[in-house]
Amino acid sequence: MKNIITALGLLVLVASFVVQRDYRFPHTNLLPDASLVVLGVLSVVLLVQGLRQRALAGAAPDDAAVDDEEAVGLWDLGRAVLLMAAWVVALPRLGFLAAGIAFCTLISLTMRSERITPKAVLMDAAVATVIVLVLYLSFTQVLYVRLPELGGQ
Amino acid sequence: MGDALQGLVDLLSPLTLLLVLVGTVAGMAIGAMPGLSATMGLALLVPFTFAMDPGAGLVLLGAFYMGAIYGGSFTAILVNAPGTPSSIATAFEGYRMTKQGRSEEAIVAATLGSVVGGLVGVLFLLFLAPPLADFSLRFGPQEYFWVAIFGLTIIIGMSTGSVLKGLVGGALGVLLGTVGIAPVGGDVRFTFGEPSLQGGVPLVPALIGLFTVPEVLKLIARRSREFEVQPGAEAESRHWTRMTTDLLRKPVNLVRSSVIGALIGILPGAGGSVANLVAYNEAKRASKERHKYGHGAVEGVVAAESANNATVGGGFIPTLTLGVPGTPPDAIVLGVLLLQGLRPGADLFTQSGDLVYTFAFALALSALMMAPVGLLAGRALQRGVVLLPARYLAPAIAVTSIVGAYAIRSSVIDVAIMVVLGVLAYFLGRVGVGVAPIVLGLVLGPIAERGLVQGLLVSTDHALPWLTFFTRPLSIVLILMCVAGIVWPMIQNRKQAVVTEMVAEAEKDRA
Repeated sequence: MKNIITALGLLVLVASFVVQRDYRFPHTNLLPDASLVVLGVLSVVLLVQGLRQRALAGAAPDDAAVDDEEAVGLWDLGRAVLLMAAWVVALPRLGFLAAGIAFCTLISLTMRSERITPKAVLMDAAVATVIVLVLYLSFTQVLYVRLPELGGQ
Repeated sequence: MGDALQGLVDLLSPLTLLLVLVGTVAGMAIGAMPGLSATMGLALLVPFTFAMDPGAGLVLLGAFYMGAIYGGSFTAILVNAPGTPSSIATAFEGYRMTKQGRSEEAIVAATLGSVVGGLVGVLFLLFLAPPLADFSLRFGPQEYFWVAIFGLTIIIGMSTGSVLKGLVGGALGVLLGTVGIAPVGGDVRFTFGEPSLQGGVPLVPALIGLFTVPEVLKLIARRSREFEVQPGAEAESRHWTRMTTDLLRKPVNLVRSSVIGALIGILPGAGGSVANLVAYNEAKRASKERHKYGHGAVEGVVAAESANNATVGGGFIPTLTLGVPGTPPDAIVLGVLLLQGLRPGADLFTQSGDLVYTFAFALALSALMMAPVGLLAGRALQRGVVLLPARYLAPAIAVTSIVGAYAIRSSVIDVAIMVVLGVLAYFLGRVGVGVAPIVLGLVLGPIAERGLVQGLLVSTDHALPWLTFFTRPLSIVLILMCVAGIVWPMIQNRKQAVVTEMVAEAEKDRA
């Protein structure tokens, strides 16, 4: 099933590139078009492979192997992706420091398997503050890289 | 000769020496953490090199890479969890030794092997890279096109499990590499109407996203590492100097494995993950005490570790001379070279020869530094990083990734690209499409396109410009290399089957 979904996703990606084809200079179409054709063909082969595996009862051994090795619950994965995405969205608004401390603490707390106590919150916030501050000072004071500030400045 | 001397002088500056030390120690720390690879660590380190001179940045990356490959041996030996794929064979014997209370001997063996292997790899780099670079002066656009195609054939060797999925990854990488302004002509392509994509998919955020973000997601989702610390070993009676002397009495295994590693490193697509298994296999095949393998044979640890560290120097030969990265870490160093405005090939050796020599000498110094650092502080360092709770490790890596992706263009869009590519890489990884082929496509695609378009444009006086890609003598050689690049992994697969059988046998013995 995973092969089928991947193949369909790749075909959608290829289609989204195809509709944007607009070349003016000679030969600049060659590599993009070649890679679109190759990726399209490979996606179709993957799709056919997936359909054949699905048709054969009890097949899809490679999917199962990958599953065992990488198994992560969908809910847990969603939590991880959501935290990362929210961090990126908050970054220009809260700034690097505030967003960093907030999300580092949040990630640490959500990774705790035991009951969250005020002491645990303080501990995780302290560790997050140290980590983020060290990076912030390294980049802004040593490497002279400007990082996002609170309020989008 | 002048460049070599200048390179040596540059290396001896206090800042460069400090960078070598910092890079080696940091690399060892990252390599020692299960789940954190040398590639991921290098990707995280790239933003720190922006404010540095190209030489200083490369020295830091090189030392880090060397240290990370060595660091992988600690967890392989002590907790049966190879920190990097390059230490898989180390775990076969090393962990067995730990269970027998011989962990210190295993660490000493890994250190000695890594030092000698690292030095042999650098010797290969110093003596083989300059003539190869001179040779590359004869290259025209057609040849660079074929070199890039040759680099892309690595994907077949890199594909673990399914060649089809490896090719999918490679094609996806090439396609992503076409986003933005075309390298020749200036056409704006596939930007989805987003002006910030006109510069293309930014390489550093892409590298961090593809290599690091999936690991962060897995850490957060699992709430723990894949591997946990197991009880340590008992103390040993022999002093480490005695152990070293004992190991040096058998130099053949050490030298043979180092040469195997360096040669495999030169072959694009192979790298430490293949070299350690091949060297281990050869050590076992050549040993008079084969029965000891699988039961804690120290020679097995020496073979695996000398081979994987030798691939570091060997791998930089095609990277620096032809612009063909043999392994993902080489691709990152190549990316840094390109970002710093340095083009691999003869120009790099003629115009920045001192920089290349400083880099090579820094690799050698890093290899030498692994001995005191590894023997004196290595175990304490390893235990420290392994005991760091995952709930602090994950946010620390995440915040470093974010600042790294942001720093290059001060763009939040780059951070978003990093996360999107990271999530994509996670899901593609779940279906067996590896990250390495995508990165190869992303790095080599634009090089191939530049060669292709320039080759056609400079051949417009020919009746059939296309023919110039197939008739030039060097092009023919490169085409043959491409064919070999496709056929060689098939032969390797056969050899791999033998190794797999041997590993299964060893596992059966251990059980």
